[in-house]
Amino acid sequence: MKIIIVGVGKLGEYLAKSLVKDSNEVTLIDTDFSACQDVINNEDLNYINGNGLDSTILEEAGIRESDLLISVMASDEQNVMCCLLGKTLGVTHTIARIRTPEYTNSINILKEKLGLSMTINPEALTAGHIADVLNTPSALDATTFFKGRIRMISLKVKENSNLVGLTINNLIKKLDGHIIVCAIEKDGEIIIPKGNVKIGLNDKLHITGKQNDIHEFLKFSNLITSKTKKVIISGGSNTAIYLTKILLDMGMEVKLIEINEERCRFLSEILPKALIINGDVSDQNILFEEGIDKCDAFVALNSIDEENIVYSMFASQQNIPKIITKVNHINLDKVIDKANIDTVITPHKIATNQIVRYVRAMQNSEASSCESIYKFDDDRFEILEFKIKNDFEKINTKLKDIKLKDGILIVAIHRGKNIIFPSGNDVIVEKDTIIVANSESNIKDINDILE
Amino acid sequence: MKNKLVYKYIGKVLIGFSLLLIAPLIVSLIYKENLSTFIIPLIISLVIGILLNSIKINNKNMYAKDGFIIVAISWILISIIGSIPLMIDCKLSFSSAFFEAVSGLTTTGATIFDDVEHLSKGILFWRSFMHFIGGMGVLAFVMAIVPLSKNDKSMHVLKAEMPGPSVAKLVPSIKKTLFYLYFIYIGLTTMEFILLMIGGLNPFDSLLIAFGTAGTGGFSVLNTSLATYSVFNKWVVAIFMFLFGVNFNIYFLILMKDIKSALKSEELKAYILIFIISFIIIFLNTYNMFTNIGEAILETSFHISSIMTSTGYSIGDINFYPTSCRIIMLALMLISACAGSTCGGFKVSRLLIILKTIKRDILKVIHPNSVRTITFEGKKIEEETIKSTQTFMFLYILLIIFIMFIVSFEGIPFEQTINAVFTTFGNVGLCFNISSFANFSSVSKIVLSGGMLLGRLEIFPIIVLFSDIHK
Repeated sequence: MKIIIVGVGKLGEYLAKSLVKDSNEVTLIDTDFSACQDVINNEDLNYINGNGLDSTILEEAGIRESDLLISVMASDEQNVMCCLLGKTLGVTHTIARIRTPEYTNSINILKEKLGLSMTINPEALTAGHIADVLNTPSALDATTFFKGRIRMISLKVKENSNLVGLTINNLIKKLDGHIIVCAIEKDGEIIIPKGNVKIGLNDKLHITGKQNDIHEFLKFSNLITSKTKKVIISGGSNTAIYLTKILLDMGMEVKLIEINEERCRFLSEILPKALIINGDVSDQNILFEEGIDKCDAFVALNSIDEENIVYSMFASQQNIPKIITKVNHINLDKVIDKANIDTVITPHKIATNQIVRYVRAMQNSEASSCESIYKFDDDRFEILEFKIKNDFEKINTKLKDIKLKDGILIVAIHRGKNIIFPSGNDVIVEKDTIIVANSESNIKDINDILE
Repeated sequence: MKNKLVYKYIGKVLIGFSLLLIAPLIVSLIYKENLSTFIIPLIISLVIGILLNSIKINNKNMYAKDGFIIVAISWILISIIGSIPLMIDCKLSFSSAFFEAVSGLTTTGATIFDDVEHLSKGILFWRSFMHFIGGMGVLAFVMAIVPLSKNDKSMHVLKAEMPGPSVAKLVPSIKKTLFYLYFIYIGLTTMEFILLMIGGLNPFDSLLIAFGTAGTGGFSVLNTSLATYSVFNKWVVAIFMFLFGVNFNIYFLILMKDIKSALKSEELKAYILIFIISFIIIFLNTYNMFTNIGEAILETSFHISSIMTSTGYSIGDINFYPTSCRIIMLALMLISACAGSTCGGFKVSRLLIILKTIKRDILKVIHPNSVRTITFEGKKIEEETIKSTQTFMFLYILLIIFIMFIVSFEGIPFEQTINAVFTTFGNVGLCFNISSFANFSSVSKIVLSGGMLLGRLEIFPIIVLFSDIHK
């Protein structure tokens, strides 16, 4: 597909990389050449220096032949105008980033008039994701598939866990086969496990199952923690506002610490139910005063990555059960791995996943191509959703007779109203939706999973 | 060179190159010549390639530096392997064979053979075929035919190999860009091939001359170059040489039916202007030496386009040209044609950028506070590009002087020394008063080969390679 991305910030850059990896033809437009050097030099894409609101520049980028225009410039107004311009010039689909909270309603009204296919709000998405994780506090990360009917959680095997030393087969037997281990990360390497793999200390597991079965699993493995009730959020950003709203709705108690007094007043206006504290998080007294040692979760949402990491490290020393850290720079991933922080959230990764999912859905017209995609652990492992159509070569073949490529696992089958966690005797039929875990190859079409 | 990825990539290039050696093998098969000439280098290339390709790598990141090193090492290795057939079949010494192979691959066309007419068909084909694959870049050729894995950051390699101040991709993806470029390249070559056959040349010679023109090389099949060909064929070659000197982006625009922007190209206008001015000067100087005006027009335009596009075919004695014409021709050898074509040399686009910088700097003296951005093809040129263009120009001159100094020990006249270096460094191949380089010493042959590689790869890859070895 031909895609034009206007604005090369952190999101634009990461988005470009992901879309190129997905075999799309990407053209970038930005006014600052030097800021884009890295992505231009390293990725197989085209770059045009200029203003994305200039129709001649858009035409030079080939807007007429393009399938999708994504506008992620600094301001919402620019993005809306850019998409409107693109639509008028003939592009079929447009995506604009709109993140001002006050615009949310207006955009819903205007969306059709402006011809926007989709709007993306990284802050709101991030907040939703954090809330998801807080809902399953023992997991590092949580995602849902099949419209929320099954969940995938990621967790680290800690010392006192019953899991250490079990093989996957034993684990599944003990739980009556209701969960599936999609992937294990051992010493930084991701494997899609076979039955005889042993679970070791500090391994990271990715597990899927229905909500109840996941709960059973957590109970079994000694990982269940009490429900999150008290949350401390550091930094009063827009993400914090979205998050606080969701958490309050879920019945949690939220304390929001913000350093700027004026911002605090604003926050107290729009979040009357939350406790807004005007203070500096780097001052430990404030944290103790607000009972950091008694809270269930700590979320660091300040604008500077390094601050977030340091505060989270401090929080982890206070034995807070759940710590979530927002980090904007992907390059810091490797540092964080060592810093004993469990859940790291990167807003533009979440936004990118959303857009890549949309792009995949656009491509999916006749063949059984991938419907949606979720990426994990630095993109080293992905979960793909396929709608099965009659072009799948192995329809009605027993799974034990299907030879899959290495690093591929069929995780679940969605048939009508049922969800099947498949065994060797199950078959795949037309109109099923299946979930596939993949750690190795580039999978675009359902038949790519076959040996 | 700690990055093992470099070796793996070179392995892939060698495997691709061994596939290319099948073409001359088929020719040898058709003409029932000694097959081992091409089987031996084919096997060597394939074995080394497979060995290098089997290296296990853990670091998958490729940096700009690695791109330069891959290009430099690949070109040197390929030149060595390309010289093996010449050593086997023509019993040449290594330095001579290497000179000939480098001359072929860099599309220079300077030869060490006094007599090419007695060479076997296989060798004749191989020499011209090297022009064809070298013209667009050996690695680009390999990248177009060998499937590379998904995560290959081949952009660095392409950037290091493609001539010109900056690489303009026609379409976002490398594969498609290469597809269009080769479509244009092979399309034009085929057109010339057919026209030459219509002009009465036999198919084998037509193909070889078309290869030589396409790569702007200059190896011919007759000792007299193209002098004995029909007038029609001379015109065909003259026009196609000129066409292969045009930036391929222009053809892409024409293919996309965007003729308006194609005609707007500053570089194209400058290229045509330089051609016309040189033509007028040389024509006025020499027209009275010809028997008729038609012949004068043909010879003058043929030789200008041959020299300007760094091809190096000739259709008559070039030694009769008076000094004023020779100076113009030497200047043309330096400047050469458009970036993004198959030509060697400094390139018109660089010349334009430098001229514009000079204009700005003079303006700066007159109006010290003036601010002026340099634009080229309607786009702002980054200061970094200007700087690297200036550095390139300086290195270009410096290296030419250095090579001249070494060649000066040959004891040939001053003018020929200058000319020999210009013609090899600019990948032209045509030289006043020197018809072949056979009599040069081994040292000079190697140094001139180095000059050809430096000129073809635009200096930086080779320099980066040697500065990296020290570390």
